Amino acid sequence: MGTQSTAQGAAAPVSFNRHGPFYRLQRRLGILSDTDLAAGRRALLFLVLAWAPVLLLAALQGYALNPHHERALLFDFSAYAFALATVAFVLMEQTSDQRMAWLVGQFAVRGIANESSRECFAEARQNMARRTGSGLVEAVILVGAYLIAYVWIQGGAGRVEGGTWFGQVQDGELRLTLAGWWLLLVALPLFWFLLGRWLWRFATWGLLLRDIAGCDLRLVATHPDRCGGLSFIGGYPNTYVLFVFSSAPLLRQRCSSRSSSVVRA
Amino acid sequence: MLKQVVFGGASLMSFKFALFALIVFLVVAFVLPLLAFTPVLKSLKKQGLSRYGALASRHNLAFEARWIQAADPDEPAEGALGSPDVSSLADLAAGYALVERIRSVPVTKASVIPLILAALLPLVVVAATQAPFKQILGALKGLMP
Repeated sequence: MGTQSTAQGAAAPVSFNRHGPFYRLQRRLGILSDTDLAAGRRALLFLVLAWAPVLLLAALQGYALNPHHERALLFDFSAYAFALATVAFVLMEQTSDQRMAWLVGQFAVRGIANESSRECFAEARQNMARRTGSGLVEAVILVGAYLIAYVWIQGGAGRVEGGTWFGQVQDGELRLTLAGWWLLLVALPLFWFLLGRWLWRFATWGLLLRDIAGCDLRLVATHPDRCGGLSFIGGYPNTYVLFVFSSAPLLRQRCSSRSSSVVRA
Repeated sequence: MLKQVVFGGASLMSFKFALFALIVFLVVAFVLPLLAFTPVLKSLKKQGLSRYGALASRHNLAFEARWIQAADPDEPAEGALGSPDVSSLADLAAGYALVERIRSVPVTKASVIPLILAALLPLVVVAATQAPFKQILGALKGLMP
């Protein structure tokens, strides 16, 4: 059985996204299948699941629109950024899978991976599948997602006197609105979990490249790309354009709020 | 940041260090995995220079022996015109120059510029609150390779 699974692991297309407990949970729920990641449908589902209740609950308590912009959900640009990023993280699963399979396949198509390195490549792919499918890592990411969500909300609520649309800190105690509770329990942890999964997949990609670099590669010193024929792999960052586009505003917001705090201090 | 600009009246330029840090972070983060190939490429270059260097030495010695040392200075040099010997001298030199120019990391401008643009694109919205669209477009054009 071990030999069979090894053979299957070597023959199956390279995938970032078809491993791990979260993938299996979604498959069991029927929102994706082994042949169809249904990225568009799931992106919409996650968006509605995470943010529609936030909007409804905020509206119920008068926090959807409010004369004070900090207490108006619809004036909170970071909420839009979180929602957009959640959608982007799901959508890019489809494109990254195709792109990654193409990139890894190029080693064989271009003759860089020869017969002797076939086993080494199969092992590298299995290592990647094992890393991306690690239940322990996903559990750590999930716990981390809830911790970061709590810290984020507490920091945001404590920063504004009189509180924000999601809550306020009174006498050192965090008091959440209804929308704040949904934000804490569902919307933000989902965002941080998906982000954490992508960061981990990015790390496993780096480790896959390290494993491949350790295989016997047939490189040509006089290749006009000046990289021995490897320049195609330098195009991998383009897979992450959507990731950067959607997460950079949040990263920038974090940096800028810190730098402005330093300036105020 | 958008909130600070729109509601707080902060200038976009006051975030230039944060933006610069973001770009540096992105470039470093995405180039880092490609460093895995650096030892392979360095070894390829070293071996290539040694082998192509040896080949060029042998070839050019033979070329000199035939065309320079054995040549009669009083005879016309028409024989060199269109000779494959002369072409191979140039071809070998071009091949050696390619080996000399092997990069240590398989990264090009095309690898990182789309990322930088993707990181900066949402800024256009923020900048639109402070600067005329023509000015923003000019600044973006300046980023193009």
